Amino acid sequence: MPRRCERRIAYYRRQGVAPGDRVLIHFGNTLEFFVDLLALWRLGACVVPIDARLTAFEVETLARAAAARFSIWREQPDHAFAGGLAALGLRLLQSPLDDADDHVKLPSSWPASALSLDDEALVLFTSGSTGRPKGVVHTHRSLRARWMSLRAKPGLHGFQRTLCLLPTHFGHGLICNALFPWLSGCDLFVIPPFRADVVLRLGAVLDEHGITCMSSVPALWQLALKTAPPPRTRSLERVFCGSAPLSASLWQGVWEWTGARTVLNVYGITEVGSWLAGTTLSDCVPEDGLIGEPWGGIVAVLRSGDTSKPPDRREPCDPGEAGYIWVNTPALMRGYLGRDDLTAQAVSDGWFTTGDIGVFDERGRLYLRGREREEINMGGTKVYPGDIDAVLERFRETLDVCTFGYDDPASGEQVGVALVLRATQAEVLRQLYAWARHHLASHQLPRRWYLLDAIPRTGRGKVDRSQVAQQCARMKPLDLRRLRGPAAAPDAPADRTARPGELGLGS
Amino acid sequence: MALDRADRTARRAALVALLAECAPDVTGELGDDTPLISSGLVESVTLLNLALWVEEQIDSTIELGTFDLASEWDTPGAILDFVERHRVAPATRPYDPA
Repeated sequence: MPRRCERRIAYYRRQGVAPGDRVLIHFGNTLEFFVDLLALWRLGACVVPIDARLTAFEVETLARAAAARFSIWREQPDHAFAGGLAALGLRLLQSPLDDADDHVKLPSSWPASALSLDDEALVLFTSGSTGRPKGVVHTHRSLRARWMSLRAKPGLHGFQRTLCLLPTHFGHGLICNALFPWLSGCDLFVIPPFRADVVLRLGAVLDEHGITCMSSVPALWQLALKTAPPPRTRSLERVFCGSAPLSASLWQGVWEWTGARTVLNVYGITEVGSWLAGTTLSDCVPEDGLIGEPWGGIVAVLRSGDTSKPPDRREPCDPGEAGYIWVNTPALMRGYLGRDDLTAQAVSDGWFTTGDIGVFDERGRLYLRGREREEINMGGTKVYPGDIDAVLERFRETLDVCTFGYDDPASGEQVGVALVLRATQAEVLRQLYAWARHHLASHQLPRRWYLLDAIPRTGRGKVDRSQVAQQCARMKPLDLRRLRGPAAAPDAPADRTARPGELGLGS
Repeated sequence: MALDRADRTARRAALVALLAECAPDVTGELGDDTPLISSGLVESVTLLNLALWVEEQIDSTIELGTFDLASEWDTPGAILDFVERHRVAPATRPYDPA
């Protein structure tokens, strides 16, 4: 690994990567991703992991927001991606194959690292891939603060052979599941995320590699517990589960299936380096919403979530009283990339407001009771209604749109959308669907589509997503088989920079 | 026999509709032999939705861990065969994984 990393450092330096450059990496969950990440950090660059499921339109939006200089691919990107990124001035590089850079002559000694603790290390985009991206900027200092905190609690024991099957483009998978154990000297096993066939043989994977630790999301366990034969060797010592609510019954089921000594329900937020609280079954009786004790930093439940003034710690909620969850930790992000407005809405005087509603009990254990922020949580994969609205409202025939979450027995929530259209002929609907497919990644694409005469709004003109969801629940959604037919008009806009309202199909 | 074929055609259409809703990556004409699981087209959450649909079709709960789901449900044709093998007949025939 060190030798491979050194060759990669030499290669990227030769390509012109310099301190302060932001570099997109378009693949994850491979050894090569981690080699590239270390090499780029050594050169003082900032890594921007990109979800490989995003469309060319979304990748361009993120690249523009990141002001990235380089874009690294494992395989040659197709024309839609390559052309758009090149037009933005990015230099596209292909991550060298394992042995392709064997011939690279390495220097006998390396110059001192250009790395400073307060340099940007990671930009993790959490939303806004279709409009104004929200990129969480972590410095090397904030990441190290999170890892130091995790070393103290929950501790490193049990991580010696860690499996990562969570995507490495988001905080939970990358910072806590993968980098924390790996950079602490443990072995890391990475496999592709989301694949059903991997979940079906999860027990065998655990046995084969003697896995001692893994993290995951509840939706994975719902499938694994029903379908996968449990591991025979019972090598697992610790299992973490986060990113979505873990029910008490599923928690118990995971413990029984894995045979792990500890199954931890964890609470994490990308903005503070993910895992910030959690608890194990051995410390409690499973309860819905139970998170447990904070792991480092200060977690407070306050009566106000207002960031326009410093949080008043004299206004904590009483035990049993629900309020806004705030966090104060040295692992706090630097801010949202180029979005001081958003940073000001979330951070006040070093405190971060999570957007979650919680409550402490008399013993100091934290429970989650809801959330204020708008998101649809599909078994741990989160999408933001505003991102989908932003795409669909630019379709030529759209008058109004409202994306919402609806209950789904498998994933907890799924994406539905209600639209008010000028025209509703079959061909228009097919064009609309093609438009959505062109701009939205498959996991963001609404599963249920409804046509309404009007979107109900509050007196202040704000859309009430839950009311729209209720209204649509009483209706029959459009038949997707008909929407997915070929559209007569071209399905991609020629002008990527046109103003909202100007883009349209067949115009 | 004709009725069976009509049943299968209708059930196939319902299966395709389900995949259209749950698995946006499954595009184009879906053949009876199109691999769904081994190809990675179907994600873990979609597989759970598929299990719920199969249970609805056979009118019985399924012990998913009692058979090799990766091979028995890998293609639309295999899923339909599975449903036909385990479907509750006009009288009541409980699901038997064997």
